[in-house]
Amino acid sequence: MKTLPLKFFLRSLIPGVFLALTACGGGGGGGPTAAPPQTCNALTVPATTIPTPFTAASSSTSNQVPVTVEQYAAVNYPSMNMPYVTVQVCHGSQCVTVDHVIVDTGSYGLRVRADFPGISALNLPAVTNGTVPVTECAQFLGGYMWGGIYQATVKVGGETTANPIPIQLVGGQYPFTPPGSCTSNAGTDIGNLDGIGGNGLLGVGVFLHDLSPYYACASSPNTGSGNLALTSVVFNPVAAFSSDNNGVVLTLPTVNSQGQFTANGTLTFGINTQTNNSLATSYSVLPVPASGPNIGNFTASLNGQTGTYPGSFFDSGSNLYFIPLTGVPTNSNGDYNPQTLMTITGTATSFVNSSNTTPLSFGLLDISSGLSNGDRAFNDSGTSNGATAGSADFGLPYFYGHSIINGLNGAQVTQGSTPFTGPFYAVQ
Amino acid sequence: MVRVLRSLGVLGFMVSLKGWAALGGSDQQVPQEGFPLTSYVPAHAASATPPGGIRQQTVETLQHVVVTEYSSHGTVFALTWSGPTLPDASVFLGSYFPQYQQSLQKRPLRPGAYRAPIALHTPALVVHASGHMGAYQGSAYAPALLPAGLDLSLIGVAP
Repeated sequence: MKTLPLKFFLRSLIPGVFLALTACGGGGGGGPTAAPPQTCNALTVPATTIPTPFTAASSSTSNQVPVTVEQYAAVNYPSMNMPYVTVQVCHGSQCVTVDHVIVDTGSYGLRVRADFPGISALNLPAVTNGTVPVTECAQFLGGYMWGGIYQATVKVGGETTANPIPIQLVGGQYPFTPPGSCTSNAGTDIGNLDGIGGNGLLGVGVFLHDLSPYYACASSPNTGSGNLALTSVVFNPVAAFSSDNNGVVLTLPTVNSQGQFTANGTLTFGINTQTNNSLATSYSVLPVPASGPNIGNFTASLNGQTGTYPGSFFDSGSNLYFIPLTGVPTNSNGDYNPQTLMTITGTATSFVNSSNTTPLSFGLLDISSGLSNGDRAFNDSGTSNGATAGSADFGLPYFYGHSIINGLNGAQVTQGSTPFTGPFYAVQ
Repeated sequence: MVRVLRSLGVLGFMVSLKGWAALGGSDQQVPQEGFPLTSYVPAHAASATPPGGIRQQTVETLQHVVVTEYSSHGTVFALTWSGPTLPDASVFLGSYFPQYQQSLQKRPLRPGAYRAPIALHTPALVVHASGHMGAYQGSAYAPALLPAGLDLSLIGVAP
């Protein structure tokens, strides 16, 4: 073993020298002057972050914002089951109001269309790595969102971030094209109106940081490299609010099983900070792991289905149930389409403490006629298309008729006299 | 100095390989994810092998995605992955990547289901990806390369 390194060292040197010579030869041709090449260097962020446990003080700040599920006219398809809120993006005292931003409990941090009217005129300060601006490739399973990271003060309802936080501006006329390592997975650029289904994505899930791939993109020479400071990654605005900063409650009304044109609910900030966000005993709390293979998930068992679903989660940013099921009829696309309502029941169990469980119950129905009639709020729309064995994605349909709490990573709260530390879900 | 040389030696070992392991490729090549790797457990050093003489090798990418490749008779027939983001499919799917892209474009989606899991079944390639930001996982395999009688669930690959 002791003799190997030198041999390997030499083997590695030889191709390196060859490459260097080739590059010199190529540069001496004297052809027309090309624009300096643009490169994107990958930056390093940790796999997970461990926050210091914290408690949120009681508050009298206006902590609720209306949530609307409706057709957004600017989207070129039926915007079904998309929970919209309005947010403000500010630079100092100058703010732009962004409507139709989707509340997403499955991601972390604010993303806004770079070409939303007024955003570029804010001249938000770019987050940099050294002197090179930081760019993010936010990865979603159906596509990626590419764009720069900027410091902005974020306002939602009466809540304001205590300081500017890193947000992502996606799409638009961004000067750098994404590298192949960004685009290869789903291949689709969804950093635009139709890809988002709105003007932005408000990630208010249980984690504080968005640890997607980040890059330092610059014209040659590109000096950006190495580690990206955690203070430079996209940050969950809820954790940065001055008050009510330990989680959110998303509440949607019941809707009838045939679907409704619209639905109006509420996003409430904070847990146990005001009378409208108490963790009452009517909630079932499901602590979820903050790291490891089951990070952010609980396990579900569903009656009539074999096997369990260890990769299960609630996600307001998924507009359907994505759950593999046997014995439920589907159309040719794999969408569940029972002609009369089918109800599936089961149990969700915490990986952190198996005595923390909650009953599960959801319906499935053919929604095609409601959809074509203009309905956009469905509590029983699900698909096997994309669903993976062992994973149950309880999307927005599950939120109708429920209040679902996302307790932030590190948030310490009590339910009666029982203490819980985030990350956790709680359902009533 | 010895320590420096030794670490350079490891780098040299990785650089000097002629290609990268991928689905359908040789398990004697080191997977390269489009980013530098933070750890690499080569096939011959795997501590536990699944049934039937199958070998496995695991890498962790710079982005902390852990990818495990399963091989039989030297050819990678399946892989699983999990992590805070997605691995570079163009690397790990190797020669199957163009087919993956084509199948993705063809899949029918309910309106607005762009942030949705992926399950692709083609005669030559099966790919699954699920989860949410910070907690993604998935698997892929080439049906034609599967060892006879292998129960995919034993190696955590979705059928």
